Amino acid sequence: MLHPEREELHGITVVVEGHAGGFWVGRFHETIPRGIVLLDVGRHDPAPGAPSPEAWIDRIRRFGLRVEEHRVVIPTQDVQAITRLSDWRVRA
Amino acid sequence: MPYHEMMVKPMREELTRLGVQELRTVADVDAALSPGEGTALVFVNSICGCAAGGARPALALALGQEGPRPQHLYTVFAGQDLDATARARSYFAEYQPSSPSVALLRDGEVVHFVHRHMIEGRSPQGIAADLLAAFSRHCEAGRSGP
Repeated sequence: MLHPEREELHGITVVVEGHAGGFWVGRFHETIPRGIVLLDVGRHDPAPGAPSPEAWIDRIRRFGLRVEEHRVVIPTQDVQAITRLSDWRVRA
Repeated sequence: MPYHEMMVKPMREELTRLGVQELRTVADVDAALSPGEGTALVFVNSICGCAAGGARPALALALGQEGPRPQHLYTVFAGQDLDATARARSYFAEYQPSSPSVALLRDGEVVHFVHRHMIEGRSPQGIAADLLAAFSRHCEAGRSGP
């Protein structure tokens, strides 16, 4: 179940961490039955040799987000954590 | 697609009445920024109520304080003055476009950048405090703007 307080994130740029290790950064828009809706979204590239998720997010914090997709729906069951980008800290 | 000018005018005036010079054309932008001398603040304005609605008052609060401030104060309006905004962003091209945002340049180099994500959900006082800290670090006292 999605938490109502997530709607307070409307318009806020967030980091979404998925259960399977995926990371998205985008502007939280709303929750719908299928999941959460992000706008102006970038997704971490997990390919070998690509920056780690932490490095990718830190670069976004410094230089901004290169938008790859206008709208993305992430299924609720795939979402492990949602963090404001401005509150993001690399975990030890 | 740009909004009707009548809707945007108050948002422009919220900045121009602070003494911020609006850059509406590519020529305006180049005339202002190409010399690359001294300190210049470029406020990328936006129609967005939740973020720009905090950022504009924040700039007003910051400029209302005593102390160092940029020598030049400029603004472009994202989504409205498209060519001018794109040209202004070319002067801080290493930063991804976002609006509202604020670039502080010193001698043509970006020394501080406030992204949209640093504005969202914050109070004007908090954003102003960050701007003032940047002014203190990068703008010399006695070299004040308007």
